[in-house]
Amino acid sequence: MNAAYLVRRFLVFVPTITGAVTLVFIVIRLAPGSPIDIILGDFKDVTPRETVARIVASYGLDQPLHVQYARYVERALRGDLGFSLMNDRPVLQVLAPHLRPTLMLAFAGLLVAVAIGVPAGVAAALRRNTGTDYGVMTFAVLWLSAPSFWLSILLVYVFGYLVPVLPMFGGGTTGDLPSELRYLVLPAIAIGSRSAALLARMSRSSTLEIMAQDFVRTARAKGLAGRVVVYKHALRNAAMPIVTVIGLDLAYLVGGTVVIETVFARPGLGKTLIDAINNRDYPVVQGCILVFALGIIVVNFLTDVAYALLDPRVRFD
Amino acid sequence: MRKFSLVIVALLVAALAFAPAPAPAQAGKTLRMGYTADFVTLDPPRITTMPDYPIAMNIFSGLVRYKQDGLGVEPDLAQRYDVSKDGLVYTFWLRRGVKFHKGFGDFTARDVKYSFERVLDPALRSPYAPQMKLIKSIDIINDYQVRLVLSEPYADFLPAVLAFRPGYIVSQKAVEQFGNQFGSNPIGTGPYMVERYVPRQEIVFAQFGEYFGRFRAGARRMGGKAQIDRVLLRIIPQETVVALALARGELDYAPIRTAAAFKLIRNEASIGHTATPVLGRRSLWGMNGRAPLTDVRLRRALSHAINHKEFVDAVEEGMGTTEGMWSEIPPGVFGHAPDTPQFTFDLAKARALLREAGVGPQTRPLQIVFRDTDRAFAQAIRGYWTRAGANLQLVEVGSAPYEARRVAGDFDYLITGPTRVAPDQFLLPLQSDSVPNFYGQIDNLIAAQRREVDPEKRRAILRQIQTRISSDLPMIPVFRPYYVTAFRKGVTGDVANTFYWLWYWELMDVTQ
Repeated sequence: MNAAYLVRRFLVFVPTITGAVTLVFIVIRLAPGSPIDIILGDFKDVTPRETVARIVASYGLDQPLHVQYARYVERALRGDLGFSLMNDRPVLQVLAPHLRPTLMLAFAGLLVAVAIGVPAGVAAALRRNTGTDYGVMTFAVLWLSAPSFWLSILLVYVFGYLVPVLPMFGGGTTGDLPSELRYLVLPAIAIGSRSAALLARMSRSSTLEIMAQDFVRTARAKGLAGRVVVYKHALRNAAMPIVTVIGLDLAYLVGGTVVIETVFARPGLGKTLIDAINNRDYPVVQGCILVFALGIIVVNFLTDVAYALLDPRVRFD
Repeated sequence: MRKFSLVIVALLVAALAFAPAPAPAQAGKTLRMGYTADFVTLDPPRITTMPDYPIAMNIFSGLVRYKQDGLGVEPDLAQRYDVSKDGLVYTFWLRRGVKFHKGFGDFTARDVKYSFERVLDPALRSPYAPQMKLIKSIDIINDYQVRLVLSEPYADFLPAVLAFRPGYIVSQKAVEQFGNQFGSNPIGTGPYMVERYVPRQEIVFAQFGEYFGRFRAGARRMGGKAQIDRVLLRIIPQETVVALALARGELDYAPIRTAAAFKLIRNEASIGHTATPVLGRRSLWGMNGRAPLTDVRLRRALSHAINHKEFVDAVEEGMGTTEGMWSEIPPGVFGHAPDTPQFTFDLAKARALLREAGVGPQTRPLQIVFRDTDRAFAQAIRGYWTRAGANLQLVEVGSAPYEARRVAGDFDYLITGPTRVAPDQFLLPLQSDSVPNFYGQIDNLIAAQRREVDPEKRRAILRQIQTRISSDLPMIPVFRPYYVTAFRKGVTGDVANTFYWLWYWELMDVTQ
């Protein structure tokens, strides 16, 4: 892997980030409704129009869109993402406490997905058309179809209420890792199980494809042990599509945190974003999207790096 | 691969096994509350929503406050007050020795003047500024006496302004210190103060040891001492989880807002609850100045088509009532008229009136606009109205587009249900300068009741207004929801009031 490859990949980020932020800036303002409606609530009926106009102007929302955009970009380049329209807190201050819990949830979900999905899929492939294969694939289809909201409530009900072995809600004591992990178990299972099912299907088909390749037959013909053929030759080659799915799925997992954070009452960026969209809290929406876009870009970058490490052909391309 | 999985599982199990139990509660009694949303701001003149207001009730005090059992007011930071006969001059004698939280000093008449003038500051963006503008002058007679002179009489001045959110007294020193972050660092004179705040997770409130007095009836019964030392408010967005946590004993106390959670807690033996009808009603506001809703026969037909009792039982799981819903001003608010016209369920009459009005499946569909939280409500209404012969279209929108459509009058019917505290506030949306095409036919009567300081004369005008509104049906009432508060057995002192969810923690006790 050479430096030019990394720089090339890195330069793609700039237009991607700019595009995402610009698009969100415009779309959220074109959506019907205004933050002022939310700020005044049903008192808007009884608030004189000149008072409403004054409040709109005080946020600069009476300015033309391009003026608002220019001001936003100018401030953002200086690291100032503005203030929440709902409570005047700086956007960075609103988002910062939620970044860690969201990342923890997404990676814990990924861990659950990889730890369950990959071995299950490989096992199903190696025991094709047996009870193991049918069992794994049936579960995979069922889990893929289960809405995460439903699964979350079910987990809360079973492990928090009926057999109360794990906390029903909350994020644990911040900074106390064992406590945070304890509160992470149910949400991680809820968010990771769909990905586990997806990975199981992907691992199965990828392994089956590789196992039918000539080099696997050659390895067997050389008299290598079955375990060596599978682990050293087949799985390393089957890993490429699996890594692709993991990379893509991490973006899904970050997006999926919204539902999980809501049901399990976890702090996090997903719920913050949804609330901000509902309240038309423009600066917070823009800040969240910026963080999500950055996160997805970093994941894509790492996936590319993983390709290059796994497959020398990518490096020389 | 198998070994790797086993290692992961072993690590997870070890983490769980060695994870310490949650930190032990601090000394004293703690009330563990649950609510579905974090607060937006605890700066009183900017509060417009739940749970900001009931929290603020425990942090701040006003010159006067609502009584425990209704909407009447009684002195709070004032020891007594006097109102001139023309309703223009209010004089307050203030309580001495009152302290602000966290060492922010003594309360005096200067704080009253500062707090009220602050509401008018354009930088604060308070929706209550127009009400506060009624005060022509604030005269400090001495440190403990203050006089307010109004520009015109306002019969609801005490309950609608001074006892309400804009009337809470803030610490000038704290406002200047915290600036626009005062909403997260509120300093008042109330019985509890914010001890710790973790956004979107929890707020911890500690009892204020120097609180000036606990003279509500309940507090006297407890020997003048608040029993709850700390309140832990957990933010749990999913109300079903709140109900399950109450049932498991992980929470002590929670307001309940959805029918699904109400059903859960009602059937749980370990949970008690109070249910009181709100000061308001859920109804369908119509665009009555636009065809076909200009025809009163159509509006009455649509009211006759709704089986209100069945609606409350089936859609709302019994979380409401139809009692007192036919008058615009609800029972408990000054001027409520109990005997206004009622257009109760009568399907045959509904069909006949629709035919008379020339409305049927062939006419333009009536558009019902509603928020996603009212989906079941809207679907039930579609069922009733379609059965009677009307043609309908349901439009589900998010909060912001809903508000935009409401203000612009972009709907045929809108599902809504604001709650208010003073008669005048119920009537404001019906003025012609409010929502366009909504009503606007009784502006003179609304203005007359506002100016009238003689209670009996005002009551007569309000009666006339309500009879007219009930007869014209600009909004079709459906039911009055309940404020529901659920609590674990062992929690006492919950105040059930039709005015609002009143979390008077100083009156409560909990067995742990």
